[in-house]
Amino acid sequence: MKYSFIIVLLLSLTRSADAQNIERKIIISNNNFYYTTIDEQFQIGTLHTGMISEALETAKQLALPAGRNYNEPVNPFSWDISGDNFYCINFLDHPLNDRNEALKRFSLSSLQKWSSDVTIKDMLIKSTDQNMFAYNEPYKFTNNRANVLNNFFFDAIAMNDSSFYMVIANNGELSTWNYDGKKWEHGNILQMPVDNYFTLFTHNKKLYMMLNSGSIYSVTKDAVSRIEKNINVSLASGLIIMNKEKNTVKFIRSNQIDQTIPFNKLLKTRAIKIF
Amino acid sequence: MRNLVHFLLAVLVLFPYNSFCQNFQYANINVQSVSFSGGNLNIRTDNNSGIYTAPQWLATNAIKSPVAYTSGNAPKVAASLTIDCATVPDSIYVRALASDSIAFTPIKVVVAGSATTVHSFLYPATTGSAVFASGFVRFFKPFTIDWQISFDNGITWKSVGITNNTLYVTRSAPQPETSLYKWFHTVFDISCRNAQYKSQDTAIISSVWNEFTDHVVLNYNDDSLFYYKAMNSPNVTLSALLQYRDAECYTFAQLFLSGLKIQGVVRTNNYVYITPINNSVCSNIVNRFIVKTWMFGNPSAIATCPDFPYENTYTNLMPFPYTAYNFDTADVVDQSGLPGSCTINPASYFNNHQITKIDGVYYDPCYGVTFNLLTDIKTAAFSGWGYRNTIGSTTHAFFANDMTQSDLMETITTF
Repeated sequence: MKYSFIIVLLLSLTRSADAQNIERKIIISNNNFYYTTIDEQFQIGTLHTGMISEALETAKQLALPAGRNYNEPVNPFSWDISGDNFYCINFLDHPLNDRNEALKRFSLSSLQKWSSDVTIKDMLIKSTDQNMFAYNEPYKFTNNRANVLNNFFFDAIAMNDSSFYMVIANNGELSTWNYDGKKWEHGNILQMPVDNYFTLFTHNKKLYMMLNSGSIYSVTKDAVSRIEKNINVSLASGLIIMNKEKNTVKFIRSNQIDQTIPFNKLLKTRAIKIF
Repeated sequence: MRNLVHFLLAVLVLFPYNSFCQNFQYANINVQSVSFSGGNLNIRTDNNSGIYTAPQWLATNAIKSPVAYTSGNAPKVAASLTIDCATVPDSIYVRALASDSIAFTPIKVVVAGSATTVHSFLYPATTGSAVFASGFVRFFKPFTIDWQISFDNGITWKSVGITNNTLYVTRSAPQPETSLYKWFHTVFDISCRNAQYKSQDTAIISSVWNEFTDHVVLNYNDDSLFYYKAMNSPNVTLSALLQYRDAECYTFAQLFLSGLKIQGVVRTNNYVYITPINNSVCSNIVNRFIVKTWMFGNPSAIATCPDFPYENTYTNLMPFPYTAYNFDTADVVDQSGLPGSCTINPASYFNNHQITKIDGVYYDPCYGVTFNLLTDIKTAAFSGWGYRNTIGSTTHAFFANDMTQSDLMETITTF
């Protein structure tokens, strides 16, 4: 009995550790959950998906022709799902990967499971020649303002298939960008130092940003304003869960993620409500 | 009578030797293990499986572990020895003499009891008589310790074995590890091997740089570290370079900078990402460059883009065995040109490249060359510029050998 308990404890610790590798957030859409991980050695991403009535560990693993680098400070993989499309910023280090062409969009149905025919090396090369859906104007603009990257962070989110938002920070400046399917527009360049990554999310078609401190800001093109939401967490301690069907936003601490129980039960019992 | 007393005293003094080990030979005494301590630095294995731990010298291990200290510290060693003899004394004196005339003081140690003829005795952790000269890099391959014992209270000493470990001494305390920069064995080795006896930052930088200038970068075991042995190498971290010994440009820049950080040399804004300026041409963006040497044949795409009239197409750019580009059509052909580390003709079709910048000088560790100005790079190292687009499964790459068609920009971070 005692040994069984220890084995169960060890297994649960292992799964918690795995959960910490989930990048930024979990999205619920069409009764499915989605989350991404990044290979620890080869930068490439995997999209995990399954029914919300199933456990996270049962997720199907789809190869992404995109990923992120390991540069410090870490900026987790920036990704989103809107409708049938997967959006991301392919910021992996590769001699053929152009950061200015990093904005990618794939249809979810085009993604394949990892197999002997779908390898990491294939995905790395594929990621570099994959056409962009929009030029990464925010990066180029930021890079032109200061070619020294210092506290450089970004995240992006698809409000819908014709409105893509990106917030980018470098050297104490922060700017918000919107791509409407044809052109980019940006608002004021704000003096707002951030010393760690932030994550964007939406609620009621409004854009929000959670900083590492756990403080939440309402984001418009020209301003960011702190809102009163005291959930007493740090961003790095867990994940944001965006339910795009029910229009809810929650937070779950990494050490509360049990990959063996149905995701909807996990959500109900362990997640903290933001909106 | 007095003579008789003297005789008896002499017999009493000599008596123990005869009674304890009549068949004694010094070959019966063996060093079994040696442990270094006293503030030695953690050295991470190149395969990233962990940190070398004590004992760093084990008689049963053919390969001995490396040791590292920061200068200004003295080594501290302990040893386990055995004596194989039916009858042994209760105690033995042990001392050691090491490289650089560092001595480890004689200590009377107890010989442990044993049910067999093999008895063990331990030389306790003892600090050496001298520190490694403060502010200087040292490289001992090997750091030798001559272990000696005495049965007559330190009057007569006999060597019972020599132990060897590679020992590194860094000039200053290494900069703390990060997720990419770690205190790997080869980082210590390349840095201390090249910067032996150096003290000033500038001397250390130029000495460590010497490892890269002959295009033969070797790890601690004298194995080659390849720059694109396979053109599709997915390895972009220092850890992957040292583990797989084949990697991309990111890693050689990281290796060079790590060799400086391990000596406590501090330089910020040292990691440079270079890429074309993304100027527009023929409604496309120039975002490729080709590193020497590529041969330009007949331009087939003058009508498509007069400024970039050479076109190559590909569907699978780097097929097995990943040692050459595979173009379906080619106006421009890759040839041997600038060699990289341990590779005659490495990958040379790029969007970006990583180099380092220290005190205003650009160091390119992949190719072992330096540049004073960013603009020098394109003329010295490039054959041309390119842009490309992908239609269906085919990528169309267009090239120009007119080097005025674009330029390089740099994005700088601190490694």
